[in-house]
Amino acid sequence: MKVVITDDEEDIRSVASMSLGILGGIDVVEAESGKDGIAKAAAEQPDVILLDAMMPEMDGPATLEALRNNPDTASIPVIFLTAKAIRSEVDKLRSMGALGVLSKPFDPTTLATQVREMLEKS
Amino acid sequence: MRILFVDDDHSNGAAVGSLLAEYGHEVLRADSLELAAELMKESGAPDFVVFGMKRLPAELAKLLHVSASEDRRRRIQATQELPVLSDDQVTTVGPEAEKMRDFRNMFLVVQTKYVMGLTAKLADLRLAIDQARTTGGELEAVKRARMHAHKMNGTAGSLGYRQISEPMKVIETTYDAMMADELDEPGQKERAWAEIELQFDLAKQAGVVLLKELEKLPGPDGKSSVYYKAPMAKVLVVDEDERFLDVVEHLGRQRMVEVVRATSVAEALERACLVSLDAALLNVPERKADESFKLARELRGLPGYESLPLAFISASSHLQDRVEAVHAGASLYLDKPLESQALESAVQYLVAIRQGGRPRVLIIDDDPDFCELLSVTLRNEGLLIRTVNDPARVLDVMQEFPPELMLLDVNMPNISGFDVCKMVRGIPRWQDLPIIFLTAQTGVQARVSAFQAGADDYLPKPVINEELLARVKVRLDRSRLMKERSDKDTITGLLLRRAFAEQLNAMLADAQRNQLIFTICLLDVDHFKHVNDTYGHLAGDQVLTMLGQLLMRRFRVDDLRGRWGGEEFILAFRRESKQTMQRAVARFLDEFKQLSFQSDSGQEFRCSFSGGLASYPADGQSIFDLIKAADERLYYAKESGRSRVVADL
Repeated sequence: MKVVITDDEEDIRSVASMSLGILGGIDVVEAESGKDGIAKAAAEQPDVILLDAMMPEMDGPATLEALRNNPDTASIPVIFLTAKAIRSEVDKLRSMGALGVLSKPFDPTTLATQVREMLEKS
Repeated sequence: MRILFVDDDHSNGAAVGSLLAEYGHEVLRADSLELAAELMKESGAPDFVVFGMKRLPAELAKLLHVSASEDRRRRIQATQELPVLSDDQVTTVGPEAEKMRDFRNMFLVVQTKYVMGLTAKLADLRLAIDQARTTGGELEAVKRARMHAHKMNGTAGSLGYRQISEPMKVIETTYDAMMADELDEPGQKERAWAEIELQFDLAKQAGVVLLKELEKLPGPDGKSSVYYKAPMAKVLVVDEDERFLDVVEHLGRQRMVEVVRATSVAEALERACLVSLDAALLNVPERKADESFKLARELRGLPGYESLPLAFISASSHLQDRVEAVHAGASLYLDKPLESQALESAVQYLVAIRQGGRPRVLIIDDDPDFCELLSVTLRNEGLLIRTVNDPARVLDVMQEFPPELMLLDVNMPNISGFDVCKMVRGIPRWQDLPIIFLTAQTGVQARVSAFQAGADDYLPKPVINEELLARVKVRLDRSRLMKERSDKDTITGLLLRRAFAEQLNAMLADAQRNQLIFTICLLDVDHFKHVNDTYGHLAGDQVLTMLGQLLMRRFRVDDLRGRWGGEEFILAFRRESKQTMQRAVARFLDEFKQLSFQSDSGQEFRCSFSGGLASYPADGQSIFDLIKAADERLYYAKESGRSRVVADL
């Protein structure tokens, strides 16, 4: 299983890579911006894209839209990471076509399981 | 132990819960008091309650009072952050525990890095807050400040620093309210700005505390400094193919292994001089294999790299290469294309060989928290730590984790530290083990009892970190020096007979357990009496020294080399057949024959040796039988003209 994690914060990428990679045995490709995320997703064809909702320049929703408009990435599921895990925000992100929403801060010991569960449910 | 974990924060509950479960506890999780009460009714009172909410509300105290005995109530603890993630309480074995340990180590690295960068992050946030304020809440400026707080909330929280993430969350939501123009009542905006200031100060204070904790770890010069020994392994990877290096580097980053790249021999040697390496992976191109083997020998010839663990990667797998690889010192031989799994285990294996040299300390204390505290301090000094809370398990643990030093609590239930000490001292293998007692009793009588029981030293509780480190280090250094003196031969630097026999026994046990083969080799310098008589005893010693040094730099780091006595040497090669080793040792003989020595009077001469091999289990099941077989073949090699290596009669 392969995941592209898109977040502009290096530390978050490191923790996520570690939890997904070491604990979850998932291949992880890191992307540092929405643009980078789109390029890497197109090249790597991951099973799922983890997307930070709030990033400078191209934010999460804008990135999702661009991913959907690109035939190479249109069908790859996207899970948002957001610090605003309130109902209205979650519903809003879901309605944009996201597979799921994970809250930040996340629990590094179970991140991989959460991602897998979301994929399996879909 | 059955633990009830009550926390209204789900992510924290999940994190701590899974961690405790990892330690083998049965964990009940509840996010509310109601649920906690229900769980207790359903499955009885737990042994231990961990409470993660900010304050211990009266209702909960009441609830616990009814359901828990006096003894248990005393153990109720409040925790507000993720526990320190650390090893050794992990008693489970297997790949899962292994993964968890890896994860914890790396988690610590990221945590440390984050704390070290915290001041800069807070300064950025400060600037952003000021700009938002001075522009009178101009949208773009507020957005920027909110973004900073948002990031810190997410990252600090995921790293377990809720003391930072909580204030950041408040700042973020306050800005949200500001942007949504929800603050239109008089004075509301002012209160919002004040709230932000307050929360910023809270975070800043928490940051200062975190940094102080980091500074407490002593630096490499013994002085206090912001310094942390990252358990990140540095591995040199040499390959002409940049794309391959990209792949390895990427894999390395996921494993928190620092990949040091080199595309040529010259670059590899230069990098090796600049960076302190833990291991090296060398690609062996089919056409230029010799170049790689030469590089391996040159690397091992650099000062400090005599025992650098090596692995070769190759697309071809001819026997000749394998012989050369063992001779040049490759502990592993990997096939190309490289699977990510294979790279991972290779790096782990190589680094483990290197870390085998790290001192092992065993801590025995019935208080897990105290063990934890000592572990963190000692582990930061690069020591390998294992803790035991139940003194009855001491001997079992010592079997699989042979310590070089023991820290022993005096007052433990059932069996006292004195008894443990006497018991350990009763076993010949542990008679020289340095044992330091830890106790809150500081009277003369207690100290006398400690020394009578066989302690080497004595540390009063509460333990002062500096004193602990100083005493542990002095004891370790001294015992290593003693061991070095008693185990190693002064002329050749190789293991002496007794120490070699001990380690060979361990290799045999390992081979029996895991159904592996190994090969031993007896070497004898040809005409050594003649060398001594003709060229002088100094020249004779020179031959032995050079042979010893060359043996250290050839073959693999985890092979054994010893001086069996006189001009006789003994080697043991893991997982190799005598057919392979015959060629590898013959290759070594060719090299040895090229060395030139000088007699006491300046005359030049060369030497050779003869060798006899024997393999487990083909030539014998016991050490005695193996050595006997090797000796017969050595005798045959001598008889049939010397300067040769014999594997079969």
